[in-house]
Amino acid sequence: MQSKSINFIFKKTDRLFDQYLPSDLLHTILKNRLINLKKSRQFQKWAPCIDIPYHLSLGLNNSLAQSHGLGVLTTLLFLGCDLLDDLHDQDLYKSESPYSSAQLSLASAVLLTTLPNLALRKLVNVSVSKNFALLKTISDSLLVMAAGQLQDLSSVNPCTIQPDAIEAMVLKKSGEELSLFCRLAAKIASVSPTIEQKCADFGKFLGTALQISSDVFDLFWASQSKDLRHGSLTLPIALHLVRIEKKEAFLQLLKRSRHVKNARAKIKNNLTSSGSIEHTAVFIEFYCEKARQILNDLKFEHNVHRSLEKLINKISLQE
Amino acid sequence: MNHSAVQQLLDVLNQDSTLYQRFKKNPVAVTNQLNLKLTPEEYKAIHKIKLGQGQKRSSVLLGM
Repeated sequence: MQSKSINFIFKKTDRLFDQYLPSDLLHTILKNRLINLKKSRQFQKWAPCIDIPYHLSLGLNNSLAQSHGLGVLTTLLFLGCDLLDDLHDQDLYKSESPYSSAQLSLASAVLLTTLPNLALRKLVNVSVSKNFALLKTISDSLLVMAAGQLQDLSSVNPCTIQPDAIEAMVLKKSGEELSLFCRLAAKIASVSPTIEQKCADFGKFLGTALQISSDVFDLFWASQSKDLRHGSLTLPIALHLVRIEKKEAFLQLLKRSRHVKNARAKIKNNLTSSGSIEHTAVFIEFYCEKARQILNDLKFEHNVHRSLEKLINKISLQE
Repeated sequence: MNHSAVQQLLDVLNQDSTLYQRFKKNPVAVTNQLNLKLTPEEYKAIHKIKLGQGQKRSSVLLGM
């Protein structure tokens, strides 16, 4: 079940759409995105990209209203990045089929530019100079994420791809996204640059661990694997490729998995027996461990520490 | 993350049960003995995956 605070943040986001979106079409597209996000498998249980910065914000002594405002801001940015990603992967919701790519691109631009600016002014309640600093922080991170997105690994030779390259890309995309959200919490609280960097790193490590967890889920447990369908080279696949001699045969199996159902079962068996899944689990745990160390350094009040520790354990153990 | 060293350690632990038992008790000593350059976070992560919480994670990941 989604927590009360997350439901409240979603309601406030919904209200922002009602108040400020002039076009009926834009309003429908964005409301539809928010509804689909609320219904999604992961967000039914918890909403890491909102939960983590929200609890961090409370730990940094931002007010409840500011922490809710930050929640709306991170929801908008998450929705915007998610929509761009889905457009890139041609992985849109069925209900979005009536809209053109141009209309959806415009909607993501609104989510990443205009609406965050409005949310900052109306909901976060900071000075003009801090407002400007927060917008600059958002721009800087979006540039890093854009570079990650443009680093097209599909054009890389899969026989020579190294796990380090995948790790670097995940750090730039998912890692940078949660890093931004946590840095915003720190900037609102006007903490020292050292604490701000710790908060940003905390988000970066958890965002990276989350993405890799999600890649494993996609390969093993999702009803249909989007990554196999798109031919995405995720970390478990790259770790398997560096372990095996007969790379061509496995690449053929990957190609077949786009259309043939039982190919996926064979891929799962291969990844398990080669030890690549175990190695992936170590990777997730490694980044969770780094986040735990930062959490200990931040020395939050007991309840906040416990809430954030629980969130790390959710990623770590996939509860 | 040092993927190559992590892979080496995982492979050795999966093949050598004596070393695995020693690793359970003293992961740092085994890592040093193998001369693998791992950070504390890396061997802690391996330790967790191989034991305790890791059993839960592995079983979740592997669907057992």
